[in-house]
Amino acid sequence: MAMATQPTISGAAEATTATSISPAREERVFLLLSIFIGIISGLLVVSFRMAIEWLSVLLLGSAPAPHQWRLLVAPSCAGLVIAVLTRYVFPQVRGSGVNQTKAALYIHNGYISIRTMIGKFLLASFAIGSGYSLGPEDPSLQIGAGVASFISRRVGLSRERLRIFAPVGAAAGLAAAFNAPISAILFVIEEVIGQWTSAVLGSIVLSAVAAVVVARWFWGAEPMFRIPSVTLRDPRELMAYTVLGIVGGVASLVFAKSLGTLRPLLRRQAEWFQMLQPALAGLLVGGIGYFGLPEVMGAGYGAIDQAMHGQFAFKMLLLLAAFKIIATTVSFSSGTPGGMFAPTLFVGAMLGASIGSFEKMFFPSLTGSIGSYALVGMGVLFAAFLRAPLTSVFMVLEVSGNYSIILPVILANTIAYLISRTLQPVPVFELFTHQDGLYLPSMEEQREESELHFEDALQPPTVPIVEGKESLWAIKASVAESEEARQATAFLVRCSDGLWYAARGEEMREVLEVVTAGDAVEAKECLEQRLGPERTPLIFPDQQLSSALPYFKRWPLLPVSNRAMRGALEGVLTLDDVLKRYQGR
Amino acid sequence: MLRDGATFAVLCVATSALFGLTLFLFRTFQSHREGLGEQWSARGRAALHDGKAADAVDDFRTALSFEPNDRNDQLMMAQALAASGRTDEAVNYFLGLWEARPGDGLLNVQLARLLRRKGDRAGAVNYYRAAIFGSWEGDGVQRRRETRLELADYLASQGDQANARREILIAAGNAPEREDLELAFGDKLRAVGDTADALTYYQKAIQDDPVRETALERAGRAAYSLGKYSDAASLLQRAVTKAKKKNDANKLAELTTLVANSQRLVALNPSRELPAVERTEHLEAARAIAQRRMQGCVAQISGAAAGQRQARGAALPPDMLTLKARWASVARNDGRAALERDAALEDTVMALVFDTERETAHVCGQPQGDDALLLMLARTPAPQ
Repeated sequence: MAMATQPTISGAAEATTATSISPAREERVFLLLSIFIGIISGLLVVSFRMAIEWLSVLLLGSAPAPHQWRLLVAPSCAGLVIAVLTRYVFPQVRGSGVNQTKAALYIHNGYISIRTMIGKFLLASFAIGSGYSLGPEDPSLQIGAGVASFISRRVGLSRERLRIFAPVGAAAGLAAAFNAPISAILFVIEEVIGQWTSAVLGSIVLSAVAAVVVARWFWGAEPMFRIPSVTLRDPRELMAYTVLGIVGGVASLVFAKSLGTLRPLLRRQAEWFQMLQPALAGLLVGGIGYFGLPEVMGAGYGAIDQAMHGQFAFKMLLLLAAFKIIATTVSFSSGTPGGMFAPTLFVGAMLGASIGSFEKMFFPSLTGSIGSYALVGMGVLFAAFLRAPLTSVFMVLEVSGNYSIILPVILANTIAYLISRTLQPVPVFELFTHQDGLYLPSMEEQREESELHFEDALQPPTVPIVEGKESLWAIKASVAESEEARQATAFLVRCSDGLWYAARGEEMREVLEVVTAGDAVEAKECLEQRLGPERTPLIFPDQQLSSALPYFKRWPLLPVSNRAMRGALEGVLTLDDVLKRYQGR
Repeated sequence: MLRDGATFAVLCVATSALFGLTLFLFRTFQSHREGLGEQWSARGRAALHDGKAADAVDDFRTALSFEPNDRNDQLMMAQALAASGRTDEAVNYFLGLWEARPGDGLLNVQLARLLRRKGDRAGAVNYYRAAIFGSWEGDGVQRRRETRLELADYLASQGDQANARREILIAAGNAPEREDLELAFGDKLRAVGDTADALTYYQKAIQDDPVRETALERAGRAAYSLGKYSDAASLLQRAVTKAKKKNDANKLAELTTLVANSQRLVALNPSRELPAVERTEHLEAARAIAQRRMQGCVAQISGAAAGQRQARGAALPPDMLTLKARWASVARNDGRAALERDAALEDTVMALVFDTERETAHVCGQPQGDDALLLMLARTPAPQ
């Protein structure tokens, strides 16, 4: 009974939102649709990966090796086909897929066309399969978002739901591609939505889990990489991980600067030259493979696995990292559709393994395995280049299944992230959107914005405070005696149940006017009885300031209570105080 | 509600159709990959068989890119890495496999061999022990025994004969009674210097197969080394009989010599275990031989000194002078009767004989014939 008459502010706000935005039917189907989106996204991502591998065998052969002519021919010819199709059939498929998904969410109300989804599937698989240095994860994310958009449109959901479903599908696509649901969920929250929203979190989790279940049904439950034993036996190794963080931060800067410079440069060229760019990029990447480093072609998971198991020498690791940056910069800048995740992990793994090899050569007393450095290196580049520090930590934990790596991961990722942020303030995905003339919200900035709370606008009560259990006659008498009370615009009534009632001045005067000295019964009635069971909402100083706004329509001011002592007043909020606080930021 | 029901029915049908299509494509895809994996795996095995380990590494790597969970290919890949001399990579690869199955005997023994190669003795021994107590596919008992013997060989090669012997004895204690195994244990025990236990296992082998020439020969040689010349003569004589049937002239000659030596050593051996009369006879014979050897050596030294006296005026070495004095002392109690009466004198004479053979070998060069046999007796510890 008491709960019914004392809604907390958050509960009331949710109820208001639910009734005004979400029809009951949408509430019913929302979670169920998320599962379907997860399953279908999972199936499409499985097919996408199959297509890449099949095309790779078909175009590059089952064992690509240096000095095979097909390494030059396949990506070059594929580049011509991709250029024509990108220009005339699928104009929206350029890029990785992350920014396109964000654009769908923030600009197009969650709309991703079926043509874009099909184009992304076909062209990205063709590009990666023919050896372009790009990855399948970001396109998978966009394919998932496309599935969600298509289904929610077909079901006829509201615009608000359409927008929410895009990240739900994105999480499903990424989770299936990575075989890592937690990382996918975190990435979508960290980079696409930008905040933890309870309205969408359940759906994201359901769709990601459904997609991973499907992917594992086909590919098996093994993690993406065969991770060797990872242990931190000697705390001195943290020095080496610190170096890895610095190297990773600098490498990510080089990588981001290269992309940030070459991409707009190539896009400024004449149209006929833009048509040739994918083919030329393919020729260059194929040339790198032909002359000795076929490992840089394609997503490069095989080479990451080899690096983790210490199968490359120190110099080879550095060469692979350097040429992967070159190959990826050229592939991506040419407008060929494909993702940045896998190349980022590749560069990180090579740098990590090279630090590990260096340690083995010059500090043999330290016993860290090369695999653990490669693993941490992947997280380092992920944190510094993609600017997703939280996801990077969980990704390493999830793909390694080893919690003992947590310290080096946090240390190295933080260092790399800080270096990257300091030297390259605009994250690379945001840079791309600016280059494309779009201004999507920066998730990194959003994360750092501080919310205002009630305590930031709290003022001491200046209105008269009356006891609700006092009789109407006694209150009328005391109000009559005080000039201030007679002129007051509002009154605060302390009720006997510990709650407050904020009455407007006119309301209080109307109540008191009808009380006459001759009417003994009315005169003895207490104020809170006359005011009825309604009370102002119970609110506390640490709640978000913006959540108070809906209540000023009903109440002239809001008493803010102490969480430890029921009824104890911390201060009051008025609409003017709240607005002044926002304007004074 | 009706509309929602219809929507989900359509979604179910579409999802099922997509699932069926994906499954069909996936199975075709998997079958294609398996085919490629098998093809590259076969190439890798052939390359490894032909000694082209570097090529095998590339082939297995390709095979594993198509069938990453094929355990046989993973093992072959690791072995190819090891065979191509890429020890660090092989260790890392095996460690990766070991992570999933730390109790796998084969992985542990492979890691032990690689760490041996890297000079990591403690690591190698640990992995050998893990292999011995690990799980094996097929005949685990045999594989554990082989691993323990390999560990023993490694320890012996590192100069740790005591632990090597212990491992061999444990392996032998757990092994079934089979003549070939007993022979092998005997050989390994002899290699680590435990001839007594080696003889025990050779004799067990003879019990299992009394007519086997190899067992007889090795037991005879072991008994000969241990100073058990009577047993050696008997065993080697039986081995000679077998060798005659095989027409192996060299071996026959060697064994015949050993038999003759054994028999002569039995005849010369003045062991305390002999009956008194027999011991006295042996001592008499040995004393005569040693005395001749002493005289011959003194004459040799004197002749050489005579040639050099004009220059430097050399004399007998002090130890020879001492020996000479001892011979002179013993000569006062010459005769068989004196020996038979005095057990202490027997020991004195025996010691003198052996010391004479040792010292003359040192001063005048290695002896021949009976002197050589007496020297052997002098150097052989008393049999248990």
